[in-house]
Amino acid sequence: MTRRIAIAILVTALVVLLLGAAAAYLATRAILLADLDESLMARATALLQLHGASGGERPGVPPEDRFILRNEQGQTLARPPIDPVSSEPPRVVSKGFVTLAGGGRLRSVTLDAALAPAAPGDPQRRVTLVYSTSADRFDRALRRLALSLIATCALAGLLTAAAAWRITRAALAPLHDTARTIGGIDERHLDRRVDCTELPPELRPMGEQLNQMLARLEEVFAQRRRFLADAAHELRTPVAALLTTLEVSLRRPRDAAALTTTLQNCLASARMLRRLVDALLSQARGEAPAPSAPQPVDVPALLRQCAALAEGIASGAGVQVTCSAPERLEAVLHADRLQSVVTGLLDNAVQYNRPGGRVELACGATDQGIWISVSDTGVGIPPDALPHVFEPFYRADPAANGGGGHLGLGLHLVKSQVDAMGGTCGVRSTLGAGTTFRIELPCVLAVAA
Amino acid sequence: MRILVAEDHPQLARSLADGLCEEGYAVDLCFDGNEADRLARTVDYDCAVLDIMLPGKDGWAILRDMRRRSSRVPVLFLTARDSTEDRVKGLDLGADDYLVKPFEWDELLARIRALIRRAHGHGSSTIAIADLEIDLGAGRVHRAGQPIVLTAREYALLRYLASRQGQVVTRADILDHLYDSLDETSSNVVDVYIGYLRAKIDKPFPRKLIHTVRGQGYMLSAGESRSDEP
Repeated sequence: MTRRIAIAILVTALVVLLLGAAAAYLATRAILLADLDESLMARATALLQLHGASGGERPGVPPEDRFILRNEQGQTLARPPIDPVSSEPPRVVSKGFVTLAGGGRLRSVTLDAALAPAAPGDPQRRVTLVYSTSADRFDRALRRLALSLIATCALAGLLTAAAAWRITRAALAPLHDTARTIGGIDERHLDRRVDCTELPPELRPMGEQLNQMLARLEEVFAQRRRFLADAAHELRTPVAALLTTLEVSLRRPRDAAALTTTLQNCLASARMLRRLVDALLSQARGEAPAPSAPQPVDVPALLRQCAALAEGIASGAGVQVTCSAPERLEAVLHADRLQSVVTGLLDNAVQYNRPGGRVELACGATDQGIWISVSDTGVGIPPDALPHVFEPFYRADPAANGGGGHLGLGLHLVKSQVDAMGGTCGVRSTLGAGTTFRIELPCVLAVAA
Repeated sequence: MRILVAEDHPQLARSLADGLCEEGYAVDLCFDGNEADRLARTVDYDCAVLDIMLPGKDGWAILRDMRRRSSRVPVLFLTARDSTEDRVKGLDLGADDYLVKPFEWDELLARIRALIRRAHGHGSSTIAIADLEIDLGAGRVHRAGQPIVLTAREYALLRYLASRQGQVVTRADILDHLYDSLDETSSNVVDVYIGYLRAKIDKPFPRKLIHTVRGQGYMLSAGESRSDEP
């Protein structure tokens, strides 16, 4: 871009210079030529007069001049005759340049004049005079002018080119620096920022936006790193259990029954690891952009479907699932994300419930979209744990740690999905009484309740 | 040797306990921090293997209280927490060793052996009393160059006596250190096993190493004791 701007400046300057030079040259030429022609005409006319053309015998006196010659007594000795007929000025037939065979140029004028009659009563005689003078001085002067104009233009052009380049480079230097800074940013160096004070005022908003974007990226990468570290950490104990069980078993000869028990224990551990891996993959997919566009979804129907799917686990835990939703509520959403969210909250509500307890699903419309709530009559969440429930691998009930089968990822996945839909998650809980999760999703309502 | 194991992951805990039992240790297993704390206060362990992230009381708190009580029980932290800060914190609090999960079984055994060895003042992994040689690393016993084959219990008893070499060991001590809280035992069992040990270690050889201290208990020593009962 520097080159383009500099070239544009240079071309503009050159065009201006050349136009100016051309104008100067042409104007000067016109003036010089007029001057040359004038002196040529004067001399030609003088010559005509020498030979009796209009104006009588007045050698060397141009016809436009007037004179009176008086003596001491005041008597007129000589004055131009007043002769209307012969005061007709010579007529210019043509003017032009003539190039000589041996080189050199002449400026030539052709005049047609009337000669005064030799005697009164004679017919008027007409003569043609071709009068030339050397155009060499004229040509030389113009050549010198042209050369100096060209030299000046060239010099000015070079200076302009250098200046344009310098100025443009200096003006665009902050952009180069910014580009270099940005080029130096990769996932290991996301803490670098663009220095907005170095940028010209027009570019500062761009610099600030860039910095904000970098800050957002840095945060996302940091979150990913933390999640990966947590996930790796969580895998350690189940893997250790598997390894130790196998190592201990192999240290001595075992009978078939003991080996079978060991294999069953290892199978349980392996299944647990698989669940963890599946949960991690869901998490990764949940954060990825949705592959398809949102569709109109019958929300109450979806809630009832999730409740039906959870029936098996719920009745096994002695928990009843109910659904209270308006007659019709249709919203434009990603159906699979919504189902994943509702299922996640439902699983959580059933798991942390008590036998004979209840889980209630509900939904409704807000002025921005829809809300969905999942309430349980379970053990509740302690107040100091409430802000952390959506964090990955967080388990409010420490007794469920380790091999209990609770990965601590369910609510984190729910939150990721809700975030991806642009919504919010909230939770309220009373210890011993129950917990209510409420999510709000901004969306377009196809049919409101 | 009696070992306390505190680990909340059920399968890992059971594997640890089973494996250590097979190595001849008496193992008390618990799944939460409060239980581990209680056991540490009431039983004199030869070694404790603690997870850090335990429900109830965490491993750091348990260790801190142990050291406040001036308990010199060697503690090995067995944990998924592997950062340098965690290791430094654990060791500075008074832990004797730190092993990160997942781990190699052989390494865990070697580290436990080293901890117990150091606690009993033995520099190397071989204990020699007169012409009796106990290779703690390999678990082999020789006397006068001849290998002696012992059962796990007998070896455990010999090892404990050797760690208290030259000191009187009461029957209660032996019960505490060789049998975990789940075993039904009476002090007769101790006499029976001393008899088995004597038969293998002392009987074939001129010099007696296992001495009865009447009214008190037993002692393993190279020196002659005043009262010697077969």
